[in-house]
Amino acid sequence: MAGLLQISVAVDTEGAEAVCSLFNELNRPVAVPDGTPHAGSGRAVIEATGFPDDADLEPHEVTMDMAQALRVKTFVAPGPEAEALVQRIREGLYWLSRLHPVSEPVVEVIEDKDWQEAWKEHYAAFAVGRSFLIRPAWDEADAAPAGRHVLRLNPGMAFGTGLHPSTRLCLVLLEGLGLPGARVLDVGTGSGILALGALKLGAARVVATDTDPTALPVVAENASYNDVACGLAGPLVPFAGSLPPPAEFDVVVVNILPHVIVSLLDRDALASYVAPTGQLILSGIIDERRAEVVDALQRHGFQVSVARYEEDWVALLAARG
Amino acid sequence: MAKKLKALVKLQLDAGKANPAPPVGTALGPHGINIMGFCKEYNARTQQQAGQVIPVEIQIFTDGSFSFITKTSPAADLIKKAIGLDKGSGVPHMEKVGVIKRDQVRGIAETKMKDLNARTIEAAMLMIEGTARSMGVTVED
Repeated sequence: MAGLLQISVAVDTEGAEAVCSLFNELNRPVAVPDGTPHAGSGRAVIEATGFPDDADLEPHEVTMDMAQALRVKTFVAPGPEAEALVQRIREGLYWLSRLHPVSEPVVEVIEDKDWQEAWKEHYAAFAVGRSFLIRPAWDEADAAPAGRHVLRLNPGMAFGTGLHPSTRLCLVLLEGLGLPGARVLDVGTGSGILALGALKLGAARVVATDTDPTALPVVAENASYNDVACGLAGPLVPFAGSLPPPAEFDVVVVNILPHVIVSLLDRDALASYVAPTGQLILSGIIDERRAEVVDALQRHGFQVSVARYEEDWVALLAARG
Repeated sequence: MAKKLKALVKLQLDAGKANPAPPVGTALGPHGINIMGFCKEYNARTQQQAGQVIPVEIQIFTDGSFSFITKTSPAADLIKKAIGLDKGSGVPHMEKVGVIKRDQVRGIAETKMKDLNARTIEAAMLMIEGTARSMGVTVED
């Protein structure tokens, strides 16, 4: 991929805000037709490093001015205007440096690499709940600890690494259900982690939907790592879109966001996908927004039987009351 | 015992719209944190403020974990929104680009009070007025 220009300066805390405003004013996000900011242009970043090694300090007590080094950065996309923009930023910094101590800017080309991939080196096998071991697809170890299902994953561009509390909560709730032979619907499947988890727990067939076109190839890839057949014949059936054609499922799991869940219930008849004695798992909910989801569930005749928490995330298990 | 802090990164993002492109990727990627995890969590927390810029302060620990707190919109953004201004002045002492009423300044100060290092609303208003002047916006009663 093309390189990005990174412009950074060292400042003190007081100067940091001034440099940020300068960067934000000069290097404005360029709106592309669909309204998303152009990659590489955009807002300033303040990065503080070199904190005191003080074990008694709670995270919320740490502030920017405790850092030994403070840098403000902005990123400029390559292109015909980049040079002029860098020059304007240099001039702006020169004027600012007469008011605040600001270092000479360092302009360097950084690789605009796939940042979604960069964290992979920190992603190692880990256990979830009583039943799962999540192992990255690129990890070649194949020993399975006794009593655990190994889920091999390359989360790629899709959501669902198993590291997020909302995903873990769903896996743990799935463990608690009698899944052998069940028909499962996974709405917003992302990497396919929950669909594959349900199959490992014995589900007969899982329909996995996603509106994100990048998700379904990732689901198919992850299915192959787990020797699961993915296609119309199942057992893993991918579906591009929000909800599949009407059908009843024993378990429906939705790990998205509160407003999406509420909209699925109110506008898209999510409840009609749950068999009369079926269960609904809802996750991706910050605790402070739990009530919205519980209200929506009640509007559609569901009662919450279990609410599981991790940090301030909650996942709800509900059935018809 | 508290976890060891590696870096503190402050970003200004559009509420509910974080994605792994720069500046999120370029700011957080080198620290090895899970970018998708961050974007999903930021978007979940800020969905209701869509249309605003919500700054976020991310604490990155040496073990690769992170936590973050969101802040109120930057004063300059709130001022622009309050008076329908597109862009601040490049030469604020010479070129004035707008006027803000003191009542509007008070409203912004109230919004930002919890993030400002100010004991009274009057002190907070002085800070907002300072930001307004530095953008070439005149404050009037």
